[in-house]
Amino acid sequence: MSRRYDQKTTTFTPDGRLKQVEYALEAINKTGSAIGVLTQEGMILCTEKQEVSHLLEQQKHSEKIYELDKHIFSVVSGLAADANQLIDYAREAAQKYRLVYQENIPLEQLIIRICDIKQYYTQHGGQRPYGTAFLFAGYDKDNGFQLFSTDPSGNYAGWKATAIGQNNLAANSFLKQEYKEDLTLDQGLNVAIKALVKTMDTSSPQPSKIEIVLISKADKNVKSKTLTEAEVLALLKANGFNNEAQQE
Amino acid sequence: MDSIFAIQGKDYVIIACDGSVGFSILKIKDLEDKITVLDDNKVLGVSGEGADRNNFSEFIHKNLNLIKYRTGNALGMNETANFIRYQYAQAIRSRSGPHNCNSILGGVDKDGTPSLFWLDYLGALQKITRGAQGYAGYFLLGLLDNQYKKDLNLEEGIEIIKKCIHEMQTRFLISQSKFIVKIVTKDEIKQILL
Repeated sequence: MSRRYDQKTTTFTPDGRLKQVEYALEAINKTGSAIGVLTQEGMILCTEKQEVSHLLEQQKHSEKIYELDKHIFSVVSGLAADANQLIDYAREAAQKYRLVYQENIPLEQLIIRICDIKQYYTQHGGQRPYGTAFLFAGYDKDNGFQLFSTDPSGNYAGWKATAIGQNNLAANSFLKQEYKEDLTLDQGLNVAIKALVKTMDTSSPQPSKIEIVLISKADKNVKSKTLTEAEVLALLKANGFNNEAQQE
Repeated sequence: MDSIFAIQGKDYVIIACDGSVGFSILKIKDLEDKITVLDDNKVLGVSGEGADRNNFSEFIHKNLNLIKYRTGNALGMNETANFIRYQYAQAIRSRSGPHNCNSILGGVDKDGTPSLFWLDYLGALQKITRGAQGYAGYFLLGLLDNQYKKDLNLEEGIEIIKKCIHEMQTRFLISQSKFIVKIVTKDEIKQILL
């Protein structure tokens, strides 16, 4: 009975593709984008929340940007429910590591564990792949600040700056031009917000739709800061968006 | 009855062990190396019956290797100590039983900080600057406490180890003629015979 469905999710097409994985990527590209930028001084993760209604309850902490451990953050693009499962797994894996080694889990090790799960569903029958792409940003003592992206196939890559989700092509080509290795955290923030706005339809986005987290290091500790709505608005204005002139 | 003792200096650690292996009233060997080199900058001195000692040090050594190859990095000192402790802790209430041996882990991290850890078969872990396993403790802890001061240089450290060896040879009932001493610095692990 389930053989009918097996063939669809986990079989190669004649031209060597996994359709379900590609369809999952399609699903992700319809959801709110996420941008990550790596600088010498720290990292920026920013994202667009898609449905913002007055009726929605205000979340206490970030909605789309998750803290996995004190040294790792991630942003999700794609199916939120799928993501929640993997986020929970990641949090558990990070603590299990801490239980044995009494140390922060190195970033890449955590990502490999998540990617192994994603890969499983591209190879074993009956279940669809996870419809999520993540950006992971964090710090470990061996490799410093790192930015990784993962996709439904279970592949991951390390980046200096990247975008996932809606209109990521536009954002990525913008990042390619504007990103420089010696950016300060503030300059990186400007680059990130400009890239994010590129993925949106408007040049005066509502600050309530944007979530930004800055990750930096103070001594040996990783610290993070979530920008308030007022700070997001100030940032947008500083970069030429949301000006009175434009809103005519 | 293995003697393992160790001291931490400014930028190095020294772990020493006796070389004798006994069986009933026989001395089988007098130059057995009971300090396993775990990697370029870490050593583990293990005290216990022959099989348990070998088994445990091999087990730890190979698992650490696996971690090194899987992740691309060797673990740091604190992580290694906690990893070993975890293995002891898992084993103590397991079906197969505890690892019947105690150990001292010593090494120097990449940033040059030396550290020394005392572990026992129950899963205890303590960071120390000087210590011993086995009967050696009865004879040497006082001496080590007396002689130790912060930031010892290498010559001073070796002198203290020599005094410890002399003490064991003078006062311990079981004759232990040869001692293997491993000195771990940031760059190398040196072995001398005393």
